Amino acid sequence: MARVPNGKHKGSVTRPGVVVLDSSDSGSESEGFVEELTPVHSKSNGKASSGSLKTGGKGSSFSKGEASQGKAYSGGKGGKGSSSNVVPTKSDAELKLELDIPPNSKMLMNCEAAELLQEIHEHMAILSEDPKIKIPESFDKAFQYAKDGNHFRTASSVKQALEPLKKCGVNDGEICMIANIGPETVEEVYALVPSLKANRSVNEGPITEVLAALANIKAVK
Amino acid sequence: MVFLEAEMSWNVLISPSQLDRKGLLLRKAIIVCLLEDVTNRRASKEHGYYIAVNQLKAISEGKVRELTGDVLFPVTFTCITQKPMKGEVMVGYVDRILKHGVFLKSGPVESIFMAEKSMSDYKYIGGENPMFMNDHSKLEKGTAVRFKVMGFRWMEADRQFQLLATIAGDFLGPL
Repeated sequence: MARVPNGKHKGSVTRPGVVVLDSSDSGSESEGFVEELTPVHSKSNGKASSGSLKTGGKGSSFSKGEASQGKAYSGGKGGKGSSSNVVPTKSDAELKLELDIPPNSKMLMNCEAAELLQEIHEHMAILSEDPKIKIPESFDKAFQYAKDGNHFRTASSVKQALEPLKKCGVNDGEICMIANIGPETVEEVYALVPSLKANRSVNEGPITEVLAALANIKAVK
Repeated sequence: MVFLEAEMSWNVLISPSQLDRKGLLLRKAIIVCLLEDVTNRRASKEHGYYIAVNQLKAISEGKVRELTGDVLFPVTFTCITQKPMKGEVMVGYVDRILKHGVFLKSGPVESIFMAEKSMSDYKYIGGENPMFMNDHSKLEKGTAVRFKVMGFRWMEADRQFQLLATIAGDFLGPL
């Protein structure tokens, strides 16, 4: 790799950040994921590496990290002070929901999907007697996922319980997340759906009420 | 993974032997054909994993293929799909434990990786039954984990998604 000689320089302060970004576009297996990460995270990567600088990681450890693919992780780990662990923790938790709904599609909550798939499953039981009819292999797994992820008795009651949230600016994605998570406390909601924090003054009251309503329609498992 | 109800427009090819004067058999032939197509395609980058054909909404006028006699029908239908979203909270099960992280499975997704650095204070413990442990809980094969989707990518060759997960944050981790 052409970058190895650079790595041999005793790391100047600006170097680590560049190293991490470079390795992300080398397109190797593990780094491929980095492309999908939020910029926040790649920043935290940079910070982790600079953490290793502070804890005495030498230039050579960087050249190792970038020279062979996949070692980028161990490069970061080399300097694993407690500080380097704390940084990604914070940014990961703040990761906001980014919905990418294709056109002509609508989102379903797990409870809605569970009811719909249950219905289809009953039809399928009849259909599957015919060997010509194929059933998508994901069906059983998705059906199980929907059943496991459904915390409530009926989808219509969940919809009704969540209705007040729409009036206080909570979007469909956030409402869907709340229904899928089945949270018990307000803190749990804000921790798992951090985008709601921005309007906390407006939505805290309704969310508290909605959680109480949801608790009443929880299914016994 | 968020469930979607997606309206799609596809073409289906029906052989003349399946055509019938009464509409019902044509509907059945089209649904059987759609199910087969959906099963073969498995998933798409846009819609995610295909789970089930829900409703056959419209069948447009068929066009006869002169060479084979097959009839091509443009149809509109709704399909239930499941697609990963960045930042969403999901539940999965530990599948494999490696020194540098854990592989999880969840619903139709076979490959969800959670790197050691995304597991805050969990530490790898090797041995016959490897696991990740912190002061009060552990992750071993089969453990149910609530995680957040940090990123994902579509693998065109395998027609499936790979996810990157994190449990660094409050209310995330083993259930």
